[in-house]
Amino acid sequence: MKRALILIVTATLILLTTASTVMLSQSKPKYDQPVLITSAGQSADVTIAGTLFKKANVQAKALPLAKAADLEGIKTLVVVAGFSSKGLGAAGISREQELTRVQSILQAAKEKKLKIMMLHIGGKARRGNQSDDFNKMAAEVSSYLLVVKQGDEDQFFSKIAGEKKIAIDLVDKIVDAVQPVAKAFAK
Amino acid sequence: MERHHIIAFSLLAIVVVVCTLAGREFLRMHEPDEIIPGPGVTSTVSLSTYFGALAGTSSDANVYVLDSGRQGATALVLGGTHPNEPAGFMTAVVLTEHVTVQTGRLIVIPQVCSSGFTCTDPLEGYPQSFSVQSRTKLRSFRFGARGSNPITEWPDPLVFLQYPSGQQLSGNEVRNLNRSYPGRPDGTVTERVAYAVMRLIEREKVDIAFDLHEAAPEIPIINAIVTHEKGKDAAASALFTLESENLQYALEMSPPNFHGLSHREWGDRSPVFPYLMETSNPIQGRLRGVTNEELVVKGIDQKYYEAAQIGSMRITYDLAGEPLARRVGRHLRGLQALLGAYMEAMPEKGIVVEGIPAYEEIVARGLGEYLH
Amino acid sequence: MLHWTYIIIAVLVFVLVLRELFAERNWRNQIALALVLIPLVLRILHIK
Repeated sequence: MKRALILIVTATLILLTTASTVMLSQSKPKYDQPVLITSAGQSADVTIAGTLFKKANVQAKALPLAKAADLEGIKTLVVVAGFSSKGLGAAGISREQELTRVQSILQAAKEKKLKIMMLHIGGKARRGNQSDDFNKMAAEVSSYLLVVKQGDEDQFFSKIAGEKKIAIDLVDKIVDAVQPVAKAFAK
Repeated sequence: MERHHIIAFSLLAIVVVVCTLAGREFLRMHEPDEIIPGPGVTSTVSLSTYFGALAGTSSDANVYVLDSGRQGATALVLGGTHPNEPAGFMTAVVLTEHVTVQTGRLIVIPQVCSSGFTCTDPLEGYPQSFSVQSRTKLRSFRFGARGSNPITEWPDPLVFLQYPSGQQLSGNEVRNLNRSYPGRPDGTVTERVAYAVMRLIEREKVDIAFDLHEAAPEIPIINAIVTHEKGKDAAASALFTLESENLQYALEMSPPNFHGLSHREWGDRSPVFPYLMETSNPIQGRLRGVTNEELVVKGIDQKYYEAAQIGSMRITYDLAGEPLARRVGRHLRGLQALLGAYMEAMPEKGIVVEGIPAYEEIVARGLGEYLH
Repeated sequence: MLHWTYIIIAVLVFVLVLRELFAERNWRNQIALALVLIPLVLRILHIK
């Protein structure tokens, strides 16, 4: 009887540990609305992200040049990382000004304890010296990275996710990102 | 006669022979390409219809109108803004020769910078033409320069002052049609062409317009759609459609403070939704090896392949290259997706174009299948 | 106006180079002068 009890308890403990390990490795943060989408690098991917969220039936406001003050009332900040010189030109700001803006809004989001999600959907075109400053800045403070695989061929984002223990999803195409977004905001 | 005089006369004779032979070659580029209007073309007019001063000059261009006779949107497609970007104007040629319009109107100008087709850029070693085997014969098309023929506008200024913004650009940009919009009636040759295009957009009440381009593989803006801010939602929606078909495009916003470009000035100065599309063209690149007709058509370059393998440039390039058929296929599919997205956003403005070859079809069967 | 000014300058340069071609006694220099004539001719005739 005693032996049977020990066996049952041990088996239950093993089962629970395994289950919790499985749950931990798969667990991604859940996000709440209202959502603010902003850019880190001023690529037009922020417009695509807006469409992506629409397709995922998640209401979100896209403000490529969002500042700390725009976080009022927001529960989730989505940062779409990737540099575009045309985008900077369209926004009428310099690279340094954009770096400062992104640093400041991420800092403000951290202070307000908002959840931050990073999207990298521009693939190879949004990687490289110009983009990676923005990519790193956004990735390191996020609780979830959603990345189109082509942008992670050198495991740039996977390495950050591994080091900082951030949940990451790699998708083949932008359209494949709709499901993970919907899931992240599912009640 | 003294010895050096005899040598001088002999050399002069050689100069005459060389000038004659070279001159003949150069003047051959003034012969227009054969573009055979297909069943969808209901009328052909000249660009000078919209601005008379172009008539009789090398800057006048053919405008092909495909009018369904049914109420709907009017779309404009420009090829050959840069005559050294063949996928742009070959896409327009395919539209002219192959498609029909069931609703609305399609206006196509395959070689809008027609002056640029009469020469090649110096120091590039470009071929003067390239050939595509069509269903019936070997079709030859000119491979031109980036801008208007310098003979028509010599000399280039040191600094080009863009009208009317006053923006300062490199002097040779004075011949670049895509820096000359909106143009002016008393401006340079290229500005007059830009002016004529703006008049066409205004008179024909164009709803959506496309400017088709190419760029070197190492340029960040390739396989891209550049949109004016009013068209960005439709562009994003089109991108989704294209992505789901494994056709990746980058989306770029038109910078409001960079003047003279089609996607900026068309959008600012008229109700039209303008889009500029880029594909990747190895012959324009700085890394390229042998520069010849084969590189234009097949797009296979060993140097770009090696660069992609080393990872020294952020390019996607393999030994299949970037053949012209694939680049034209991308433009056609991109155009279709944008038209579809535009119609979703503006359901009252329908335009139905039939016969646009699918991307996979044109890649598999070749460009010639869709030319007369 | 500027265009035709440049064409006239090209014609003047052509004439000067032609004169030099006949005055020069070194055949190597004469070849160089003859080469210079070619683009001038093509530009004056509006061919290239």
